[in-house]
Amino acid sequence: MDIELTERQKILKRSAREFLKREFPSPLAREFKVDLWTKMASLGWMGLILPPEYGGASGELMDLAILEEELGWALVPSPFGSTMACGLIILEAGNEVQKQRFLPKLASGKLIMAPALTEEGATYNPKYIEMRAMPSKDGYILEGKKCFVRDGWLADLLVTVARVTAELVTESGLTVFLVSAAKPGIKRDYLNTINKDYQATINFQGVQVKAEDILGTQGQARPVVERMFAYRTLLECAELCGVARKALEMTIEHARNRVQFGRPIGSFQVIQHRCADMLTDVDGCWLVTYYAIWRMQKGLPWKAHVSKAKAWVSDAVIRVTRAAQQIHAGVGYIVDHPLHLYYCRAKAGELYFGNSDFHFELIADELLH
Amino acid sequence: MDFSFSEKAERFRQEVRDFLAREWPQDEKAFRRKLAERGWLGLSIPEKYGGQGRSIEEQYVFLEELAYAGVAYTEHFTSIGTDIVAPTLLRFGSEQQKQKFLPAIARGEVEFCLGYTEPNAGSDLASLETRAVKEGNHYIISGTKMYTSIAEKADYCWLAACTDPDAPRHRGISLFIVDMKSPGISIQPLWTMGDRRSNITFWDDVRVPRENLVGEENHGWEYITCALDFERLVLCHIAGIRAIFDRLLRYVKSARHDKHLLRDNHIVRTKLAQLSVELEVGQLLSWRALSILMKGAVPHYEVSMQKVFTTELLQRLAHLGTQILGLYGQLKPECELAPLSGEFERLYRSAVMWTFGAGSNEIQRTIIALRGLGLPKG
Repeated sequence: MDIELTERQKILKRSAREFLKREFPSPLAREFKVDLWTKMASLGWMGLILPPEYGGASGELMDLAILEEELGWALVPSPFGSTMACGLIILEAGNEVQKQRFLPKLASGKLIMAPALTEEGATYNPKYIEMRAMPSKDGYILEGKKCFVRDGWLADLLVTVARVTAELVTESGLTVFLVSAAKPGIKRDYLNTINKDYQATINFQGVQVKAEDILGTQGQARPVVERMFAYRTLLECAELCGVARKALEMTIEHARNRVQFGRPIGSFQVIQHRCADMLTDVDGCWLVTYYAIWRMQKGLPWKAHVSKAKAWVSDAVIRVTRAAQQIHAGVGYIVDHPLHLYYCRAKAGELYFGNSDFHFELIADELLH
Repeated sequence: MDFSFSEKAERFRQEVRDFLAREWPQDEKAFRRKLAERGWLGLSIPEKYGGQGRSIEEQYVFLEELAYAGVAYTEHFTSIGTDIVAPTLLRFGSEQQKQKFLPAIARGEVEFCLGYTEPNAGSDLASLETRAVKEGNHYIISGTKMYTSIAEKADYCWLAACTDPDAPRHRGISLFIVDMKSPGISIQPLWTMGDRRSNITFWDDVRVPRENLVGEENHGWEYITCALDFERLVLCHIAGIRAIFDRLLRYVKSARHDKHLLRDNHIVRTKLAQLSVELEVGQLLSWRALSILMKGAVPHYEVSMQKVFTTELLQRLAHLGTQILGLYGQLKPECELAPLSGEFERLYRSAVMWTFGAGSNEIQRTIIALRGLGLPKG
């Protein structure tokens, strides 16, 4: 029972913190920068979890989580989580040709990827996917629309889930395709959302894909989708850990410096107790996230734990950022102060990949089956 | 990063689990004797004093198993001897005291009650008024203690009294081991809404020999506050809460209200799922605090945090259980119709004390704020 980062992990975290302090000093910058992405690649961030034959350092999911936490802390708008979730799944489920095609490019920072699952129904339950992959002479033709694709606007490769058979509201027939976003027939529309996350609506009209673009087995998307979704969710949880912790740190700083009635407001019990609850929320976020990651890495049953992590983190970041805004009061309400970006980021994070309601239902299934 | 217990601890866990499967439930006195026979009341006491000298990790898994099995350590028998008296004597007690008490604690031959709280001294324990005046080879102790649970069964009282009324509050307190057979002690029962008995105890010129002073005079506060962490970690055990939750789950899986299966009720499903998420957090907060103690480090705020979280979770579970049971939730254990033997009706009443007992949650939150976050003192 040793619930602490190892020395190596602490070094990784520190170096990521220093790097981002230099390269992305203010969250108010709010733009994805390709040269930052390239620098991250040159530090080995994308290759971290790849085996050496693909240019990697054989790291673990937990290492990615540590980096994501730092990205969240500094509030960097980056497709790292989306890209790495896809990278992990290609590494696991891809054949040799696919791995050679994509993984070295990923490691060198030349490939941005995003999972394309959700459609207009706005659910993460794959059973409701309607996009069709109609068999054609060269493979398949994709027809349909994906919505709320996080980092979809930036992605070079879309890991897309579509049906090879006509029956709806079922998991049978669902297939995962690796689709280049540059293909003819793909049209992206940028979604303006509360957070800077390059979400897009993506229309697929007559998009040609081949059998070799299938990830895993045709008609059996479940194992691939489940794990990709778990990776994506956990990386988001890790990012939100950073978001929440920074919001708390800003709040403590403010509470120490803001003087009213002759004393710092942080010396008033109401503020102290509210901050104590914020720390419980923040520590809880970190613990549930890293526990679920640890379980996945160890090959222990993880499904319920991923849902528990996302459920907790979703609600906790809302509580923390709301309390942060309340304690900052007037100064935190003005856009020149970065706090509102954390507040908005938290709301987006709550909604991505299932909010607590979505995950409570999955948990209840397991508790009460 | 490791969220698992060592092989040694897991083997011990299995041993304890097998023992509990055979020996629990049974009469508490007999059970305690069985524990004592195996040396399991002296887990934390070094072998040279008759204990087993087990690691913190092993102590924790032992208590985890007992809690899950429903052995409420503080309800069925006090843990004061093993968790407060023994560690304090080991650090600050005289050799004579160690020889006299530690083996006896390990063998389960002595019972301690706690004489801290007073009618006017709860969270502000340092303002206690019980006096201990030195007279030759004795101290004469007079005062009133509140919530002296198990005083009626205890052999000794671990008592805090003021030996220097002129010193600043924290620097005038001393700790004593008082023989409960001493003249001048009277015990008045206090019945609580949780069905548990406690007591007011009156101390009228009680003579305590000098050798029963623990450590140095006027250093009692230091002894009281050190080594509180492990006790606080295991007192309202998360595993006990998990056991209650698991029983509620089993009930929900098969129960019907108005011909509808409770397990299909969306609100019930959501609330149970939410509680299971909170249980996960509570479990992890406990393990994190344990992880720090296992390293021999002093937790700054982590034990306080898990205490606040766990106790409030227990109260939420009590409330949720009675809600799910509906009208049946109000039936007392004595009532035949009571589902789950009226466990939740009783829990709803007994859970009340956990958020103010053993270090009130308000104080714990202040500790988190000051020590965990570095916020300035008020």
